[in-house]
Amino acid sequence: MSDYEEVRVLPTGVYRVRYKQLTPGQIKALRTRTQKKLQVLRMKRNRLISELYEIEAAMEKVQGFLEENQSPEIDGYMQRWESMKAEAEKRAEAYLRDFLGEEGYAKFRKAGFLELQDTLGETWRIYADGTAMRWENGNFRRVCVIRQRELPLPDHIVSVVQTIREQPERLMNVRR
Amino acid sequence: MRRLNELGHETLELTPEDAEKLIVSEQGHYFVVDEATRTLLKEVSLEPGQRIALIPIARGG
Repeated sequence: MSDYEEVRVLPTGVYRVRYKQLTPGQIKALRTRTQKKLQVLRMKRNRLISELYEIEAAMEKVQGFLEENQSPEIDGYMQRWESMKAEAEKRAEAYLRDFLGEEGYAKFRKAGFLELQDTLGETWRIYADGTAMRWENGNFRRVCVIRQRELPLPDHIVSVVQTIREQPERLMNVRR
Repeated sequence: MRRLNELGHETLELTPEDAEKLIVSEQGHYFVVDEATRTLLKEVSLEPGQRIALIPIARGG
């Protein structure tokens, strides 16, 4: 017995086929290789299954968290929070009006900005969105002012105006 | 005492001593303004019944 080779014509094409004769030792080696391959595939499958279980558990946890977050109790809390924020905005707006005076407030809301001079003679503009600008070299240049977290916008404006009036040097060297 | 913060004007009724303590602990973060005269208080010495506002000092980024 020896290796064998033939040419086969099939509907898909013409093939040269080689048959290799195996010795009992080679057959054993082939079995061993195949068993190892099967073992590797089993391990891979088991890993994937355990990963799948982990994913399912994580999904369940996230789903549970989502359901908890959508409880009427939390919805109620959010509504109360929103209404508290709306009240805070109203109070802050009233305070800004009081702080600027009726005339100053009306001018500010009409123009969309407030212009003022600090004690150092610098001219500043504070816009209705809270942006602050300082006159420099023939232009108003934006100054980067950090808005305190959750502070209502009118209160932020009051804070910026008060700081410019009293301690403008705090904002002199910060530019966007 | 009115403190401008995220709660939207937290109002506190304090004795002058407690208010002074609070102002000292918040020094550097707030301007202390007399609500009646709208003037900045440079020294922390309050009278009973005096209404003040704590306005956050703006910070640059």
